[in-house]
Amino acid sequence: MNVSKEGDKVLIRLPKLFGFAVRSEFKQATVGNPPGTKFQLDFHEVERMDSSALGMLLLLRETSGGVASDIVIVNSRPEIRKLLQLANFHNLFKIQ
Amino acid sequence: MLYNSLVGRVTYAEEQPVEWVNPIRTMRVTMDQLFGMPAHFYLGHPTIDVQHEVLFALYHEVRHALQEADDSFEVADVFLGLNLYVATHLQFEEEAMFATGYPDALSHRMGHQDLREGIHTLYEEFLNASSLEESRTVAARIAVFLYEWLENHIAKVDRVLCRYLLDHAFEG
Repeated sequence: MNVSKEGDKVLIRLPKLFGFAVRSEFKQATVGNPPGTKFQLDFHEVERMDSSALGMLLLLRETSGGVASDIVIVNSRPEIRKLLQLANFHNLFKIQ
Repeated sequence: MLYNSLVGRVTYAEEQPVEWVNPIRTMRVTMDQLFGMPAHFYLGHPTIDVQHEVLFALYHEVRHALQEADDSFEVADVFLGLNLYVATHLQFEEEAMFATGYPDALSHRMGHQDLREGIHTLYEEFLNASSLEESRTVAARIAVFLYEWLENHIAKVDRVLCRYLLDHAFEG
């Protein structure tokens, strides 16, 4: 997982396997940022997700302001996008 | 009609081969099993199975938060996420029941209301807890309440609903 910051935006490039194994890194990257921080989650490399990853996305949403959070999911593969849609995450996150 | 557990969808004999592989079910990471959903909770409806998996993941997050591990999230944030997703999932099922004219929709919705009210009541108790110990006790009760509700509702009530939705080709 690769994390970088540009101003008030945190860019996270997620790994091929996005799940429990990276939760420590994910939490470190997403918690403790100032209010108003924007997150861009790059799914370009993600081939597999487990359910804990879906849970982590929801928790990122809550820790970064809930309905006021600014989280964009980009570059997801069709099968990952399908999974996010089944989970109804297209109504909770911006998916581009 | 056949439900293929590795591909996460129902196929009919005349259909073309599988078009989508559920990334959750095929991921082989030992640790994720700890946050997974037990096999007997899978009901064969792709959308509802995935959403139930998310609810189980949040249940595990509550338990993990109680352990205060380095990688656990704050219990309060987990509850907010749980509240949000419970509402999201129940709304999906209720819209599906409405769209298909599900005959037991009323009693099914009453079961949903038990979950909404139970979570809400316990969350209020959590917010009003006067000590860390008390808040931890309430959080543990939420985890137990959630698991018991999931066990009863998914295994019994949702199983009937999913069969009905599959018979009516409702995928959501």
